[in-house]
Amino acid sequence: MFSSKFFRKLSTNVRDKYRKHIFGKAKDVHGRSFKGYSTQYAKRKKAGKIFRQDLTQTSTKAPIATGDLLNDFGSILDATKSGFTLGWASQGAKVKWLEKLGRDISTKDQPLPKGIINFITSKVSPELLKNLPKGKKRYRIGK
Amino acid sequence: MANQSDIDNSAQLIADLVDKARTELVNDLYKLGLNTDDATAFAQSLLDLDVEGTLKKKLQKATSAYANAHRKVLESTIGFAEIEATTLTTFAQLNEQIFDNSIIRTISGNIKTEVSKGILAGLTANEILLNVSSSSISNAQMQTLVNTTLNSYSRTITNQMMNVAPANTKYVYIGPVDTKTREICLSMASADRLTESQIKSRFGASVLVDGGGFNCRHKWEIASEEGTSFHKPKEAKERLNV
Repeated sequence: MFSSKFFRKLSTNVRDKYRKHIFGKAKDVHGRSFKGYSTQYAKRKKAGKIFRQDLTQTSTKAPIATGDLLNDFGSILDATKSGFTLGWASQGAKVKWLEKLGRDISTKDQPLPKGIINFITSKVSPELLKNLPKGKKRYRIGK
Repeated sequence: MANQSDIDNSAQLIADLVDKARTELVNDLYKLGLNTDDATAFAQSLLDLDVEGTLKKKLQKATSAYANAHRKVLESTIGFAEIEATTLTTFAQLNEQIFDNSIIRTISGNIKTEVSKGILAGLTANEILLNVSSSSISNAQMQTLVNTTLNSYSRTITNQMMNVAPANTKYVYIGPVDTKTREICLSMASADRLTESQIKSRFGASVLVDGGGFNCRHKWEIASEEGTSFHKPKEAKERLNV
């Protein structure tokens, strides 16, 4: 029905849409703006005092300090004919940690923001229709 | 529940185990040096000696401490699909290998240099040990090594995707463009979309896994139609020209 090429292309677009939503627009997976930091952490982040900090992202409330979490997000397995896998290869524990702090970037119930799920549906549905067998088939039910 | 601090906490344990292994190895090497009066012959025998292999054996505990910490982190990794246990094991083994290689290469190179320098300068075993310790890996450096290894591991996963992607797939170099960014990273960030072979011919193959080196905050990844505001060629070009 689908090709791995289709899912590979879709996965990179989903990856970047997700990054824009979470790290660019600074919204959590439910679409809410991230809450503010503790005064102490906000001060450190603003001053660029975090080790290896991305100094262009000092004023955002998005979970960007070094950029490792953002960079690590992507395909962790190659796309197949049946789908693709996005996630964190080495920084996954930070996602759980953020969840504990009330900063959900991906949860079991809501792995992706609604808008991105709609985007996936909008790409998958036409592809599915395109690849459905053409023509009519008559089924006789009963005798 | 595992969290990133499992790895951070393990850095201390690993540093202690590394210290112990390093001391044992330096003592062994020093004894070897005492058996010969000819400093050149000693330096040669040092070069012939499998320092890396010996250190690898001595560091088995440190490697497994790191692997266990990383395995916990991996198990809590969130994917948008179920990942099989065998895949997790492969990932953990791969990361273990990367850690092993980088730590052993760094320390064995350092020990070789310091021991041969010490023998030539007529230093005592303790003086050599002191030099090796002071010039070798501190806890902060161990932290760097752990960070670097995790990021190299992340790049390795991306690199595996590159190996199966079509040859004409384009890649971009993402990550911060700020005052801390190294020149090599600025050069790669300022490049437009490149194929894997173009990256290798312009910057070498190692950048695909190592990025710009220790503590690098960047990586090559497949470019999307969506585009990303985290690839900043214009800003990188401007910074290069400053």
